[in-house]
Amino acid sequence: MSASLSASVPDPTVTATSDGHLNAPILIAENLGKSFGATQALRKADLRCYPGEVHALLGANGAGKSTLVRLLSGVIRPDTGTIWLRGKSVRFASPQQAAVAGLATVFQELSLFPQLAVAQNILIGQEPTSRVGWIKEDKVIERAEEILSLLGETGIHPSTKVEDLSLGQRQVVEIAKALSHRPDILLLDEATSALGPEESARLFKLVRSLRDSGKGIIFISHRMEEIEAIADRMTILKDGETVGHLIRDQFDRAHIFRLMLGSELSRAINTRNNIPEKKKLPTSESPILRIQNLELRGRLHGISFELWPGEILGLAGLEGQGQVALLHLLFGMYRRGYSGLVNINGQTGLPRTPWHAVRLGLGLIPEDRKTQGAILPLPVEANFSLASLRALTNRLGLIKRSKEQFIVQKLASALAVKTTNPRDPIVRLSGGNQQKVVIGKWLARNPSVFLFCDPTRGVDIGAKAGIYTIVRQLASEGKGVIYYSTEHEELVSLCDRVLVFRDGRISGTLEGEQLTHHNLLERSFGSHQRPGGKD
Amino acid sequence: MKSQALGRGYKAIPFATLVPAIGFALVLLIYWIQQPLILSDFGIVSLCNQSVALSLAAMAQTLVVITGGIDLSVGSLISLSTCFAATYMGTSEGAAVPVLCATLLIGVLTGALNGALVVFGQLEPLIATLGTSFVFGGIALQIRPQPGGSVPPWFATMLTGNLSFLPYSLVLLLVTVCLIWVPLRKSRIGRAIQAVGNNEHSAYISGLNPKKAKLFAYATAGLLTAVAGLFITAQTTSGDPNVGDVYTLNSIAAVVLGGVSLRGGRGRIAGPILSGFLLSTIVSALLAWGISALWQSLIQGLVLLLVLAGVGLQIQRSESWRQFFG
Repeated sequence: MSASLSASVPDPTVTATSDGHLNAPILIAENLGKSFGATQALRKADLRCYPGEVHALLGANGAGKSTLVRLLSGVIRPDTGTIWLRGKSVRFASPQQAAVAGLATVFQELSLFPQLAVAQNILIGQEPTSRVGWIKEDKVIERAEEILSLLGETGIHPSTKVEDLSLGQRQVVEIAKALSHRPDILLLDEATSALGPEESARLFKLVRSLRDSGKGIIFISHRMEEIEAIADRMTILKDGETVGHLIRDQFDRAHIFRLMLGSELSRAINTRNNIPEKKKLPTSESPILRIQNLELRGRLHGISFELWPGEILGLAGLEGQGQVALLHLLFGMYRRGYSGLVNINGQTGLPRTPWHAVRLGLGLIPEDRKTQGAILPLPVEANFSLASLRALTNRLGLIKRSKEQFIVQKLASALAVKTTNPRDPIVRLSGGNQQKVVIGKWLARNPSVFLFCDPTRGVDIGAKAGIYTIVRQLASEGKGVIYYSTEHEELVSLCDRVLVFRDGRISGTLEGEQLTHHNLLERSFGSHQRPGGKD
Repeated sequence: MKSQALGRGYKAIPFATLVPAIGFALVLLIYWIQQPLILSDFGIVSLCNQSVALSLAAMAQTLVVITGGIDLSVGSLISLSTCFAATYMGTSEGAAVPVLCATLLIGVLTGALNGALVVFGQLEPLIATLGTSFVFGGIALQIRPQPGGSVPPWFATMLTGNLSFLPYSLVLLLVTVCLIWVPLRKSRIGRAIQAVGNNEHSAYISGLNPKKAKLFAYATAGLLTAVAGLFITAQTTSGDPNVGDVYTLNSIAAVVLGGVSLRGGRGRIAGPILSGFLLSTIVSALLAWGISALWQSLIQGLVLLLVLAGVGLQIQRSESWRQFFG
């Protein structure tokens, strides 16, 4: 398979120029680059969108998709490269400018104001006003109705407050808001992710009619079948670079996935050989965690799995498919809206609060180290002991300093935390060392299940390796580990078994030989039919 | 969903406005049982004169709270206005009107200063306005270390007098609402202020200018505060560097009682205005019943807590802890 790889990667420039369009592109993005601090999110992205086409933008997590979207929509400005709109070089100071210039974006994270009415949201900032500057509310409603009628029978009343709408309805309003600018190019960033099949179908009809009226649509979706159904062409990003332009005839899943993976695949094969043989899971013991048919309203559907002692269970999939929600749910951060059978350490039921979760033997390393994991102004040692203060206090309720220091020292050396003085605030440590302390906080408490939520995000390579060592160590001690990561590479090399999430469901379970980059990506985009069919 | 079923054009009176309205009616009833004169022309005038200043201050506070901020300088700006107006108004025959305009201008400028500190200085509204409250209070003391000064009699009568059952103070309140609040509410900038309080990032990516909206809100709040200060000047016919102190916290109380969310983005003006009346009348009602004024804070506090407990129940219904704390 790897031998045919280089041959099948087409030269992007050839396909890009040979697409045979009579019209000039409305939008050209050329060599766009953007860095955030030391991270180069986008290196050399190219994209051409022609009038009357639906153009899909694809890429794995971290390929630079969202950065490119934010550049095009005017939220951020590129460091290098040029954006051409209708043949003119443009540099948008704000999303408003982009919209006025004819490029409107439907943002993934909704940009609506829940406490305003639907009509007020759709026309925000461009309300028709009377001569004295008062908003003509009836005109606002009228225009909103016009725009909404473009979307077919939505059943959304313009004077309803947005907070009273369902997520799907809000998405429709968001699209109406973008259409209010009468754009030439409409950028749909995961616009269908919150929609049901019926609403999606309606949106597709709309997208097609917009296309037929000569508009260009840039379409981003994690659902491969949607892209195949609607896209005329696609641009594929990998590591911040455009690695392929495909026209409809060239759509072939295997080929597309190869482009998205690129050399990473071969690299992964190499690294996999270096991994020590994964141990056999003990079959005689009972699972630490057993979950059956777990539902969380609007986020998770029919989740069932077991976690065994000593197992590292990975959670994969594109971002925002329910992985974080699952970890939060397990850690007692949701108060209602869930159902299903859960058994943690022999106890039935989900924890109702995080402190209850801790008592049940769970520990969460949250996704945002700075605001959730570490308490930045507190000393390193206080961060270490935060979750186990009860064991460290004397009868008067005061913290026993000597015991605390002893434990902190033990943990710091075990985890190889590089710190000059444990009394320094944790904020002075590097990101990787901070993360180790966050893990150490739970080690001091000694839970039986560790929930990792993308722990290596923004952590340097050396510290990453350290974190992997810790995770493996935990597993070898018989702890259960659930490990969510946005990086497929670490899931492949670290995990015994990986659950792939898509639309809040498990779209595939991979282990052993099956656990490859290619399969992860395929399941993330849903190459196989969804389990349980459409809802 | 609810409003959808009710159809277009129908606007239900929000619960938030109903609470202070009912509360005010109740207090009025209790008052009236003991002191029927309260519904005479004299009674109504004194009741309005007592309440309008707090209602105006509450309007100012509401505007800032809607942006998601808070204004701790309301009280000292009121003091500054009274000191400035009472000191310079009476100096000569023709001084009154220019001084009146200058006072309003001071309100706008000081409000804009608060806004600039928040918008450009990136200060937390709490810190920025706490700081400026000392500055404004300090300037008030410089102008007039002791209470005193004078205002032309026509000025006092214009704002605190009455035409039979119609107190001029109520007219002032209505005129302020019509000239400042309604146009603001109906203009794009007003919509932007609400949007910014809802979600600043959304406002930005929707093409609004959050900085401009906030600055405008703070400046207008300053103007409203100066109106409150002028009214107190007319009422007391003097300036006092400490007269405004109680209005800072009372205006916040009125805003909260009026159903305006301290998280911003939500709120109508009727609630805070009525709450201003409610909080101001409780005291006199209690006095009429022979209950000492010393009970004032206690009773006001209990009323506030009772209403907030209702709000708390709503928070309890939220789905996740993050939503609750977030």
